[in-house]
Amino acid sequence: MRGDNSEQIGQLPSLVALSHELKAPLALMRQIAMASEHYTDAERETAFERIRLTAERSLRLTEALTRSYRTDELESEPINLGRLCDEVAAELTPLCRELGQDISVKTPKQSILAVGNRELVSSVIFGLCDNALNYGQAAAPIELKIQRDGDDAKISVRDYGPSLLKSELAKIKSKLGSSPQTVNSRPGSSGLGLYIASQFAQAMDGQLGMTSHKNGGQTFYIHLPQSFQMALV
Amino acid sequence: MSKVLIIDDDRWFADAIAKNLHQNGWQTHISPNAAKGIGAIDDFDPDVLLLDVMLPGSSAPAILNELQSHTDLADLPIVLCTSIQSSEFDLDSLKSYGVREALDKAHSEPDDIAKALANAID
Repeated sequence: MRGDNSEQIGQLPSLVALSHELKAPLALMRQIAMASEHYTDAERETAFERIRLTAERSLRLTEALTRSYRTDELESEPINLGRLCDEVAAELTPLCRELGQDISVKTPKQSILAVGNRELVSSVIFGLCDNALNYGQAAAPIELKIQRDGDDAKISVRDYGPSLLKSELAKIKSKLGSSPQTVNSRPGSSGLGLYIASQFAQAMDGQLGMTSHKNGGQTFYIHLPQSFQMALV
Repeated sequence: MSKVLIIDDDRWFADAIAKNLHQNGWQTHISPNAAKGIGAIDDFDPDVLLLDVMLPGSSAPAILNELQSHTDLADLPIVLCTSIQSSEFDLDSLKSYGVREALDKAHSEPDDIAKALANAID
């Protein structure tokens, strides 16, 4: 079962929006580097760490963008989603710590395996977490959850950032209807990361979706075909 | 000491700018989105706004419209600081909203921001 009370996502952003999204981290690194001239040693250490983390974040996005142009020949394998989410969370922990946000992974007792390409699934999870980091309020947690949903495996990333305005949501829902038009992202974002994630999901016969929460924040999720290899064993 | 309210969702960018402005004698306050920024205008009572354009939730135009709806805030000077190229928006049309200058995040020097803010409240 897929996408109840949710919207499909993923639309190629305009070139202006793309350029903004790729330019923003470069501008940030430049400003931090220039500002650090007058910093104390401790402040400079923080500044260097922020430059490094921004560079890594930007690299992940540009590498995923490159990868999104060659998804035709994929090797799929059973993937332990709990383990993969733990790895992603561990890699993102320094960035989350520096942004003052916690990241946690909730896994069921019994492992859930999905069929997909490990590199692409990992990239999707990074992309959804990055989106949550962009829009999460300071000190608000980011929660990854893995669960079964019918024959699918579902990975969701919940944040507590600002929700879509009702007017925006209504506009998006009216556009959806039976047409393939999809929600781009939250206002103020190019939606590049979500576009790439949706491309990767489709390439693996999966689907990306989003739910907006009444009490603030959103959950973005990916459905992937579940592997029943473990059940057979 | 003049007061600047920085409305920018990029916390690290805002931090770097605030530190520099503080060294230049400014009192600063950072708000990460439009809603908090509007709230901070009442509490912090800034002399000038340094405003990012692309914000989560309501973006800069919503703030500009909101300020215009309050007679006591309609003249609050604003400096835009954004990664969007200035050719993408019409600065002249924004002047009636109190926008004095638009700076490019990617090319401005920290002192350019301090100068633009000082000019805006002159």
